[in-house]
Amino acid sequence: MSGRKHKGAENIENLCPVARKRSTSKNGSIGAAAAVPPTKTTSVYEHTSSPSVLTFEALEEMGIGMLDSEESSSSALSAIALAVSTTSDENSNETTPCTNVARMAHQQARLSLNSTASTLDNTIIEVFSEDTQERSLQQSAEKLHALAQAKRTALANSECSSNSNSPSKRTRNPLATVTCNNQIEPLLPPAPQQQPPPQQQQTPLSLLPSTSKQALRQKKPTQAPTAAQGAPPPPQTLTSRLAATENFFVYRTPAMSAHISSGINYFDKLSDEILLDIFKWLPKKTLLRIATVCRRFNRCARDETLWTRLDLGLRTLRPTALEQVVKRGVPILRLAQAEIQDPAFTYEASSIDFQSRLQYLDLSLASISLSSLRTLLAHCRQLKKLSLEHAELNDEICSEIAQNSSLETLNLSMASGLNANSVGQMMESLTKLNSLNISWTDLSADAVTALVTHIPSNVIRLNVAGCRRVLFDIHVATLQKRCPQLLELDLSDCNSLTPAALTSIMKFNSLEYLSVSRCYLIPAASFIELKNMTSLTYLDIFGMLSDAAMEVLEKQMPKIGINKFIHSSVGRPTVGTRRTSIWGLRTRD
Amino acid sequence: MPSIKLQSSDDEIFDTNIEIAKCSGTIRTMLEDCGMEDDENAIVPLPNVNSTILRKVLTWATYHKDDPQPTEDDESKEKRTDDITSWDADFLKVDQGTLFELILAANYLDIKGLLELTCKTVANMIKGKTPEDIRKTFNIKKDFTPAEEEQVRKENEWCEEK
Repeated sequence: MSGRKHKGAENIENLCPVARKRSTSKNGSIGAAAAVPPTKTTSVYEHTSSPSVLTFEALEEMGIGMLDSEESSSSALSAIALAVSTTSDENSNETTPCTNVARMAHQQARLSLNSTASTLDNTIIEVFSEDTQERSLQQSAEKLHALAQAKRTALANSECSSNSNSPSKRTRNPLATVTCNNQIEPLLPPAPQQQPPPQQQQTPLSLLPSTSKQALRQKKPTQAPTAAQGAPPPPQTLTSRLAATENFFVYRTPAMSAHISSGINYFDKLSDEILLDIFKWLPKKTLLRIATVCRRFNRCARDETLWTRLDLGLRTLRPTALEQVVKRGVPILRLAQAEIQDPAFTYEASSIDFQSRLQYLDLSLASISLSSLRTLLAHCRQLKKLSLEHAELNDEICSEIAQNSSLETLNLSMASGLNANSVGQMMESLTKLNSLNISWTDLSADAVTALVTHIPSNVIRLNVAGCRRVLFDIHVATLQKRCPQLLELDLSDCNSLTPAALTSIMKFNSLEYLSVSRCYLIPAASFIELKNMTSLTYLDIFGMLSDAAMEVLEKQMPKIGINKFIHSSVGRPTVGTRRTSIWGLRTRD
Repeated sequence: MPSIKLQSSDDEIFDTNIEIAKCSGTIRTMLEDCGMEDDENAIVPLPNVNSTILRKVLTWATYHKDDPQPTEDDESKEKRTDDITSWDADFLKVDQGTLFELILAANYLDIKGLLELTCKTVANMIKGKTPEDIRKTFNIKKDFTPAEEEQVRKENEWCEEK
């Protein structure tokens, strides 16, 4: 996951769910939390409001940022009104502060907007449980509406220039947000007469605690509610309130969301194109998860533009998951070392009615059944690069491979189940092939003959290592006639080769890399002849020479790097440290 | 510096530095196609953007006026969403309505940097949330039948959780 790399983002993401859990599971503490003196509560939220940390999630967590969309305007206003009432009660520790709402609302005008907003989260619980106070709430709401509108005006006036960088903007007052919403859906008449002058409005904003104070508070950012819990509230009140409503933190609980679901789904305003612009920033795991949000998300999250590369290496794929992967139209797919559970598809290879867009497929060391592999490959007609390292193959699978006429790279290293027929068929059909790794596949002598007689002449990189006692000098001679352009040739462990093979090898005019490691029948002295090959840059002859002989050889061939590569890279998707790129293509976003 | 006049949907006129206005591909094209570049009094109507949003857009464009043009090469770029600068993050501390309006404006005005930034921000709001959380956050109605939902859920459970 990219999140692991980018801790910052992860932290921000995590803020929300974690805190959510707290707010829903600790209902008992909330009534008490409402009684916290506003200054304390404020400090909690100011902790999160340092510019680099404050995100939408953080705002939402405060019950602020998203309030306008999740709440109907009226409930938002009531909430504010209640916030007002609690805040004004800051000197008392009462849990039910809504006695003198209207009067308190006046006082509120002089209080810091910040504290109002931050207590909002705690006090909003009152909204639905205190129906009798509806009217006075409405009044205070009007007052506050006016107040906040003035605030918004002040903000708007300075917005173009200084505001965005000023400290007051950083601790952006959430009430401004709330008012904006009210603008959209005004439920209350504007009250312009009551607007205090903008100057006055700015003042509370600048009354933020100094950074040193903030630092002190940050040490115990989450203790405020706990401390409040410790201070015993009137037990009766708390219990009865809890019994009366389960809707603490109203816009968090499902029951209440249903009640207030008049919020706007802004995604409705976006075209699918823009939705995809958003989705393209999401990790694949998230794309899978959001499919269950709604039909539109499901449809768009499947869009093939979002699935251009996919890394499921080392994963365990559930039954039929591979079918879904193929249907997404993924062109670059890494399944290296994946465990693919059967059945991978809900249908047979014979009943496939569509072609996959797969072009680069890495199944190295994957665990997959023969039938699933066949069905997978039966979808594939456009493969360019394919790795089936260590896979179990059969004739059907090989003939599916053979139908990918644009295949350029094929890695069958250590695969089993190859025979003269299947090798011959693939070599005849795959005319575009330029890199082939068919090392250690336990080929028969016939299969080797089929290989070298049918190998496409485009092939420039070939690894046929491990053909013990089945690959002979004559094969090398045939190969040289078939593919005179070879750049790389790995014949290591083909221990039936004799110095005669070197004569054929010398005819490869372009050969840059040659491995004849552990071809014990070739005497050390014969390698000196290879110095006449002008193109040869690297020679691997592991296990052939003593250190002393090696020194002599190195002196004889100063331009050739000897024994530089233990493993061949021919056809292999992942080489060296780039483990998630296959053939140089990223598999992760 | 030459300036041009941009007219928002609610008929407010914004006297704007021409170089800043040109961060918008739409305005750039309009100026070039209509030969308005030399006309001081020319008014560019932007019927899809209201004054509040246009003001925000211009604030962003002014701050980012010296940014290099974003490259078209989407493929080679790593897709990360944690590279939002603190100024941009502050700039986008707005309510959802404004954020989505900004996306629409950035799309209409063809301002790649702003579109990318706003889309990343929404993506960050989606990340790490359960489907239910996402529905709540964005007021999305679940329009699946239970059977459909089960089907979709199955289709999207690919890997065994480790």
